[in-house]
Amino acid sequence: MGIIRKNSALGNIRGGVGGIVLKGWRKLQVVSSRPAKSLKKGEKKSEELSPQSKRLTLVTKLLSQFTTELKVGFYSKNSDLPAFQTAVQFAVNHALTEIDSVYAVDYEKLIFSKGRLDIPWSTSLMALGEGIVRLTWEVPPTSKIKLTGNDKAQVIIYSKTHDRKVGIPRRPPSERRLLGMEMRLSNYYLGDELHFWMFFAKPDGTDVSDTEYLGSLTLN
Amino acid sequence: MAKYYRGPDGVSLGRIGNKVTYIRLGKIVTRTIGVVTSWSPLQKEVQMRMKLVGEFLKPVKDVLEIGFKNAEKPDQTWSNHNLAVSLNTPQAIKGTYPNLELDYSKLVLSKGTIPQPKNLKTELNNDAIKFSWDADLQADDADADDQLMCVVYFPEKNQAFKVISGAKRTARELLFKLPTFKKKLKIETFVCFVSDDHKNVSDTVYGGQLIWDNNSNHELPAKPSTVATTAINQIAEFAIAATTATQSREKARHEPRLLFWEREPQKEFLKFVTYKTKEKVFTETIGNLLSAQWAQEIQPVDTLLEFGFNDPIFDRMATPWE
Repeated sequence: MGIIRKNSALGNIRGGVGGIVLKGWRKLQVVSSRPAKSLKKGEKKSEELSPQSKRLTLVTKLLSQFTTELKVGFYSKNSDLPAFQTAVQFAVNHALTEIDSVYAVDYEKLIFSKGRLDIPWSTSLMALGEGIVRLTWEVPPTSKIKLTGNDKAQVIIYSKTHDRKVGIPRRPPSERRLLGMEMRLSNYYLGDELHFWMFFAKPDGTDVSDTEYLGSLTLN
Repeated sequence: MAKYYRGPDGVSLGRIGNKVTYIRLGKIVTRTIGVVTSWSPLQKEVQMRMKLVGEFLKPVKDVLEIGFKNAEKPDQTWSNHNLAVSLNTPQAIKGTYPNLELDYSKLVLSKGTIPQPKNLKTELNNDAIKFSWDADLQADDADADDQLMCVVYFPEKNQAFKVISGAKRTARELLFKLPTFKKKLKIETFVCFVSDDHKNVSDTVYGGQLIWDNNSNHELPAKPSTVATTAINQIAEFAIAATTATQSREKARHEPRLLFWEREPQKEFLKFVTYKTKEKVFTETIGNLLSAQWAQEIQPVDTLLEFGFNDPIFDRMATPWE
């Protein structure tokens, strides 16, 4: 893979040229060879994906909806892998179940962050009706609330029914010291099976807590 | 590209080919850079041992910094964490690969000359862990100002609560309040004494394993008793009074303190913060209020300093829940 410097003879060309491809990669313009053919000559294309492809397809399809949260949750200056790849690596290794070559995501083991802050302890989740969901957490006596009270709660919601991320309109205040938050979700998700996760992040984004799976509920 | 360190005849720091040279804790080290794709079973066993110990030590890093601060180390370049890994990796792991697991009773989190807590007992009562010990003041190096340092570790979550400066040796007991967990949890406890100036510690004592089980007697009463209801009403009056006293609240020197909580049949939690002024005691709610009488929106205080039932003013209110 080559890196294209400024004022190169190639200018701003993007895309395939002969045997090479010019593309953007992490703020750099790079040139790489075309991907090799996955099939040998005369080999028939299998209708079924390989197990690794199945795992990656399942995980990337789910996690690609949460890139904003992952950038906060796996922020690290020193990490070898970007945030998204770190999350995919963990999910493939730890958060998948397999029954007769059919893979499924174990939502309880999925993580969106890893860090040193206190996790949300003793969380509870409740549907209050009319699309309102209340979640609460506790602050342990050993937590220095003066330092951690302003940590922002990052709540991640996934609709299994619609297979998509659920946004939180008019996001309410979510500091750790408030010990809970209520949010009104869109009526579009009424009756859906929703899965909830949360973690805390420092206001300056320099550290986060591990992710806590809050559970699932049917929105009413 | 490598750079010369200490003149042209010195050591080159940086990368040359597949080797990299750098300074680590005052030592110049060189290692190869490469991708290893396979390991022998013995290497995998060592990796698993390091992983088990490393994962345990990660959440208790603050304790290690004090626990091994003045412990004797083989080399001045050893960090406290290095020593902790070295002491625990061979001795605190039981089983054979790949069924290795931590032997919590042999873990070491501190090393020093102060006498250990004698006759340590740990009990889980309701939602608090009670540590009790004998003061043992006649022992050499024992001081009345020694404080208990304790670690409450949750293996399933790989998280820990730490108290660096807890109760004094002469207090003979420490009540450690836990959050109200919803699931069954294992709890491992470790304690040691730390001197008042934090320069010396005792060796670690394993306090044993406790099991948090919501189905046992840790559940708080589902419905408030008559006496408790009376207390709730009194607090409701304080809460309403607090909303009308914003100005005096700002001027007053207040001491926020969590008063109590009560589990409702719907598993909701009430949380109150009380604070004192010169004239009156105010209570504010955090979260959601129990009844319509309390549904008035009140802004929570900026800081939530202490948890517990220790305020004598509220003894009579706290009694029904104990």
